[in-house]
Amino acid sequence: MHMANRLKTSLTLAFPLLLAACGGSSGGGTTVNDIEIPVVARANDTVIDCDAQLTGLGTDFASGEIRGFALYVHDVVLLASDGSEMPLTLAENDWQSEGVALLDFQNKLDTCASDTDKPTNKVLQGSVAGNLSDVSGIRFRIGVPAAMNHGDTAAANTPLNRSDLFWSWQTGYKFMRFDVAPQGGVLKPDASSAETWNFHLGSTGCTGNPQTGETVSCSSENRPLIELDVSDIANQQLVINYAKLIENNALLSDQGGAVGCMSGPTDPECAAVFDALGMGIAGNDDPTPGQTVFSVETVE
Amino acid sequence: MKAVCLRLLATGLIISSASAHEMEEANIPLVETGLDVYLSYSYRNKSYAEQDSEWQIPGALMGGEAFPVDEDAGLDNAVVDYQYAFSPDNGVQLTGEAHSGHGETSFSFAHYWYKHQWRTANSTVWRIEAGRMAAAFSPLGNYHASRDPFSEATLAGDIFFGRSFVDNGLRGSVLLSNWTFGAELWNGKSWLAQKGQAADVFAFYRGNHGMLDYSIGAWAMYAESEERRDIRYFGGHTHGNVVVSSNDLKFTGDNQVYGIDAALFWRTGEQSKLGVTLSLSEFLQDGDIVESQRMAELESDHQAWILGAQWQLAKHELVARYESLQLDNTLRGSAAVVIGRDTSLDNPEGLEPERTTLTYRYHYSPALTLRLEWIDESISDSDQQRWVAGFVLRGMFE
Amino acid sequence: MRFHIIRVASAALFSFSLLACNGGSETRYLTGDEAARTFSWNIPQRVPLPIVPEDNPVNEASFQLGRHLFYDLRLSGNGSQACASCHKQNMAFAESLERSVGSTGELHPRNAQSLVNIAFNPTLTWANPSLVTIEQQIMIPLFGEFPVEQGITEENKAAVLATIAEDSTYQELFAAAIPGATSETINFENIVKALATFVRGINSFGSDFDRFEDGESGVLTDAALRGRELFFSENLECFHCHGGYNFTDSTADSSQLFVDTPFHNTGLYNIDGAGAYPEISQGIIEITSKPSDMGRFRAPTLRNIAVTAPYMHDGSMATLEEVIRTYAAGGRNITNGPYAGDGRANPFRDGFVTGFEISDDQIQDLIAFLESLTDYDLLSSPRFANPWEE
Repeated sequence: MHMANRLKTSLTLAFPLLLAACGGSSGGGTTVNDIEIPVVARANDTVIDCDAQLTGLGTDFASGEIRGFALYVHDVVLLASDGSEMPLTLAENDWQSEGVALLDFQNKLDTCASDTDKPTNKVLQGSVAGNLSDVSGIRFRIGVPAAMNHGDTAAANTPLNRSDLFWSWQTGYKFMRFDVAPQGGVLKPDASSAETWNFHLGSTGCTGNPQTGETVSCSSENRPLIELDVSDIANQQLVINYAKLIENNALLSDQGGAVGCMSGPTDPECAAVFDALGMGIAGNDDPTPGQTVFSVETVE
Repeated sequence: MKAVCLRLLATGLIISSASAHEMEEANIPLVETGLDVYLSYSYRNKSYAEQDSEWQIPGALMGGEAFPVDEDAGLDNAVVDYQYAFSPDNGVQLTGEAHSGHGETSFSFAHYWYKHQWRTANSTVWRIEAGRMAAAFSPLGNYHASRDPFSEATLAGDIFFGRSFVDNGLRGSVLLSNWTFGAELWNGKSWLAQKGQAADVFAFYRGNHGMLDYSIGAWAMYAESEERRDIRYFGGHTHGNVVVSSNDLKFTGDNQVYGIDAALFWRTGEQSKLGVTLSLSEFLQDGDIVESQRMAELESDHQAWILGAQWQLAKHELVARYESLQLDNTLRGSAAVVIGRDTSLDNPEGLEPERTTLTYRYHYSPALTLRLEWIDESISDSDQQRWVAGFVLRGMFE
Repeated sequence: MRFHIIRVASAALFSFSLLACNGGSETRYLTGDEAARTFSWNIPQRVPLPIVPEDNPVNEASFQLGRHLFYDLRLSGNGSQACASCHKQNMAFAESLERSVGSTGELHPRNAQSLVNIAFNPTLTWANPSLVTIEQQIMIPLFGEFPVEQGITEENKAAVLATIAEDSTYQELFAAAIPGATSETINFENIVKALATFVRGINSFGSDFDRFEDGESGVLTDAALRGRELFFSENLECFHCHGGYNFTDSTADSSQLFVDTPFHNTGLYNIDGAGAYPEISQGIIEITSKPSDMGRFRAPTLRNIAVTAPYMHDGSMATLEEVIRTYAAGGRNITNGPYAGDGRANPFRDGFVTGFEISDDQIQDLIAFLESLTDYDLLSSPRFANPWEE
């Protein structure tokens, strides 16, 4: 189990001899390395899956279970200590296509209500050109790139064919969908109660061109850029801490708008969640600089 | 193809009558200091547009100053013309003009221009005029009720030029015995050449043979229109409380107008003469029509012919005129039908505007002419007959 | 000299003949869309064709496939709801509920709109500037979760597809609609495209009003004619938002240089005195987040309006008379209840909703005009009817 989580590297010979023969000024060769970066999702210390009881959530220390937990990631770049960048080319597979990866931690069907297992994906797979021992950081962007975000969802291929991540009323995808059912439910302002506290991140304020049928622009892109320090990429993994995301929110009572935060700028729950992701919302420019949700840790 | 034919024909006419005759005009001064006043006032028993509605002819894009006549009595047109001569060969001319419609009279400072001529050997006269002035290339492009035998403008003039072609421009002409050649350049203030430019050339020949006087002329104009609109019923020139329902159609494209004019007079006696006149013209538009948020390509071929006959005996004058127009339009593009239906271009009945005018004029004195007219026309869905009684006053002050 | 005159005269005569033998006056229209009009659009020549996405051209086979899907309860997560459940032909593809109910019983925030002529919509639904194709919109009722409509989910979508794929009727319909169809062809991409083609084909320009505009006499009652004058008057201003051949300023077609996407706040609510609409449905502010977009909705077509009651985005008005009286008042003043507030003072109210004087008789005239916009053929036409009942 440990080994599976280990960052695996393997060396592939590229064209170092050819480059040298050209007599170029660049010194040394370039190696292309396959790499797998494990991603673990937790709430405080609890590893997230459908069966996990999450505790100590938010300002009222709620307990709860996930109903869905998935996010899209793209533009993954490894950063070298000399400041150079090594873009990660994502492998093509069921979870990754055309530079977009879907990470999914929901391991049971039907919003975790089923007993039937559902596949998950907790790793980024790809290759980089460069020396992995030079890597001192990693940077990636959450979400589906704008050029792919407004395509025909009905015709999309994996991993963009997930209907639970369609965000049709905003003509795009949910970039992050973290739905959690707190014990006792969520009290709404009108005194009714909802089962889940939802976080749906996606581009908002989009307008389309009726003549071409294309989405032309979105006033809020909402694709947070995450940059983390790395000391030993071969033995480290990415961590998503849900408890940090909703650290300053009360899961047991919703102040208005969608229950939880569905990226609505006027939704009272969104400001704190966006702040945790290092983003501003509705003119509120990331009041606490930096994000708190993602981190890198060394695998024991 | 039709356009080409007419053009060749016009060219042929100019060439065919190349003979030299001494012109009297070359010897009269170009400018004489003085004030001329003309005024035409008429009563009509009908108007050709309903009160408070727009005057549109199906198949035409109207505009400029082509306002309908009013029922009842009104001022057709009054012109105050002042000339100041620095010498017999150069000076300035200023023209103010008033006309009424819908019970109101409006006055405009219409033209102001400088003219200069040089005489060279063989009695050749070279003339340059510059300023804001009416075009001289075609009789259709400059109409004033007070100076015309008829109290109403020609249909061709109204449809092709918006009644009068007035613009800032430059005119050069040469008077060479019986011939007059000229060219004009315009800078885009007229309705036809809205925000574009226009140029024209003209040539005419006057001659006589025994008791016959005759003239023949040919002319051609090219004009560009940039977002040309029909602003007769809104903007700075509104008469009365016209309900503005005008579409916001804009035409951008090329206009070409060609014509030939011929007149033949037979001096039958000391104080009598008989005459026939003929005018043929063709107006081509090729460009884009934009109406609200739609566009279609427009190709128009409008042809007009005007046939006149007159008989004059001492102070009595009878003039008859028959006008006929054919308005051919092709609108192309997916918006063609919508634009056509929403504008005056729609012509489901294939209407060919026609008008017959019969005028009797009694020239009481050089200062006063009485005018009676009977008009039979079909320029919209229904035929109309109307009659007109009026007078023209002229005064010259030196 | 003599021969000069002869030449001139003969030239003149020649000119006469030149003019005399040409074709005369005519304004002809070359729209160049004859091929596109071979589809049974139900759209007269005087109306331009709607915009059709390049990747989903219309054809009859796709229309018929879409018609079967539109009326099929099996196109839902629990087999209980079809598109037609909320869009009924005899109500011009609207329904009589104030707000619709989804397949799992969830109450929708909004009233189901008529689908007639939505091929001409620049934006779809009541208020969404991002939804510009019918194809995009159809994903919402099929897969939407907030609220659940047809309730297809990641878990049940394979089963829904399998049910459809097993039906031999669909096998034939898909084979006819999609060239080179295989078993893989029965997928949501093609289902959505066919549904879109069916809905795109539901067009109505066959009302008494249309017959009147086409020059037929005696088709409008005197009351409707008086109502027509009122409707197009500057006093009532109706036509500013409900103008054009589709009786809405939110109209797009293939002949336009640019397409506008207008939305209007009509002063229905003003809960907090600052313009607020009930939180359940607030207009395009839900998409744009711009405060000034509060309460701004798309003006729906008025075609067939007499059969699509109740009215407004939330079905909060039962009759046309109530609607007219509200516009006459310049908005709606709600005096009690949770939504109390004077909509007439809504700061985002549209400039054309300023109120007008109208008598009771005139209201009836205006209603008579609106009733003349009903296309009765459409309400019962077999072309748009449930194919499973044939």
